[in-house]
Amino acid sequence: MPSPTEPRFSSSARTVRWFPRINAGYRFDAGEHVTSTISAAWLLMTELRAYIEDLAGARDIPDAAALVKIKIAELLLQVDAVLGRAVVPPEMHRLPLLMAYGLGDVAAIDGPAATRLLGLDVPTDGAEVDRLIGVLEELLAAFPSDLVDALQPENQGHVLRFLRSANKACERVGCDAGFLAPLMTSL
Amino acid sequence: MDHRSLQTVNYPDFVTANAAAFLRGRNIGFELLATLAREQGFEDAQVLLTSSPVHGIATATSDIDLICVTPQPVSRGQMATQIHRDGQHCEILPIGAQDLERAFADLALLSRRALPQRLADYQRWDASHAVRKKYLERIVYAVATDGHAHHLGHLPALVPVAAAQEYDAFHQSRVCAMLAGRADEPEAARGYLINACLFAMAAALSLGGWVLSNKKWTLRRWHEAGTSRRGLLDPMLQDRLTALWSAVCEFAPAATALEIAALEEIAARLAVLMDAPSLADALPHTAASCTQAVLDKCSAFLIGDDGRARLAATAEMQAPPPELAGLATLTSAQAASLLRGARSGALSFSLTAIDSRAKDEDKEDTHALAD
Repeated sequence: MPSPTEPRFSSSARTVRWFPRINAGYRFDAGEHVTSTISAAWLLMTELRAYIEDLAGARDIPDAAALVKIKIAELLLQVDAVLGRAVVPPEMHRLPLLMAYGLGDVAAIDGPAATRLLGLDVPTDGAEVDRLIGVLEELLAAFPSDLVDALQPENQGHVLRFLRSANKACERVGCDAGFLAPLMTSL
Repeated sequence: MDHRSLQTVNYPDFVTANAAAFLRGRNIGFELLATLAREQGFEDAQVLLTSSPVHGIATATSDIDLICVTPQPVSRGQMATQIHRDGQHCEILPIGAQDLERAFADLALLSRRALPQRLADYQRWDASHAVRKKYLERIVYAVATDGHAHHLGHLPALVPVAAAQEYDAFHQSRVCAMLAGRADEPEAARGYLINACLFAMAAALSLGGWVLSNKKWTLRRWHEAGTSRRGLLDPMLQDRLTALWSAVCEFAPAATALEIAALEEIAARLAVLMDAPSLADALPHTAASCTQAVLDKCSAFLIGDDGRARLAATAEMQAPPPELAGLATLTSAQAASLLRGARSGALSFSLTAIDSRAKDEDKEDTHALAD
């Protein structure tokens, strides 16, 4: 039986503190904070939502679902770098970096814990797909703003409001909203 | 380059049969796709069904990606239009016919260039062409609403270009796996090993004529090619990579030296198929220039031309060994230093450096790139 002081970890998201610095109330340089959190939010509500849809579609296709998990790992490393205001590493380094060093700003977890959380060390059957989708939905819910699925028709109004608000926030802190353009065209 | 498998697989039949099966499965026809395009104002366009449906790997949630090749010019940076109709999610992207013609002409020229130039020019492709790489690749396999694959004639030009990209990514992942193994980063070594396997599979598939650079489909295509598309894969690569992937999926806590060593035989075979120079006695690399701002006697900020910086220990700064075998004798600190250089973009092991290697050996300052 683990002692009360022994760190615990389960492969579910229940023990994970998502976005620890944002949710703990840390303060940042306003301009950098606005651009990094808007960029992260956009990546999560477009690319992560799309990967969740891919996972659901590949529920009975383990070969496809296994590689969607790898793409998700690479994306979370990218979001982590964006939130940490670091240059995003080239794609071929993202999975190895996540497996070795884990995440800091998306969640405070080390490499082996991130590997287990994202199921990179287990076969990808239907139950594993369901578990991972649950983890990712918890991640999305833990972000302070409403990260709807930007590709769904019923959410287009929400996405437009998000972009307008993002533009206003940039104006308010004196930064250029042009950084959103490459994110939008990368879809 | 070995193009035998381009003759062993009937790609026109492959993509048209896949497209027909996909549309049957969704209870729609080419007419609906043409109608959607017309409604968006593309009356005189060639409407192309692309992506996973024509490759036979679409899932229940796959989008329908359409490209409309229009006689009118299309502004650069044009985004796809999202359409939802009868439960189908369609994306429609217009591409100008003249832009496409120029892209195919340049692709043909590029396919005949030597490997380093082919790699370098294709890496810069999107900056100099209106038709981005991923759309060019999609159009080659696309099926038009008349049921025909009009652009597959460009496949022999696409194959050597796409295969070279995958081979280069495989090579770099292999080098980094070796470095991570030496640097006491076993988890990272396993990550690089996974990537090396997937890039090698993608290179082998590309050499067989099945180009699709989206990594999420690689494993599915690999198994499909091995079971239903006999003759597409090189038998030796099929055997070794299937075995290596199984070993990687054993989910041992860390990549073993044995698994990393197994990449050597795969690298040698890919080099033969690619007509690539042997790397037995070389480790091509390039280093970005940077300035140093010393912090103390142990460390310095390495500041790149882009104004980005990182703090690094100065004690381990060194050049990569002159040959691949030299990686095996690096100390842990040396290997970690080179790995940080590669991750930060200051040091690249891309094969684009093959030609410039001798020239770079004379440049002492370039070796400050690894910390």
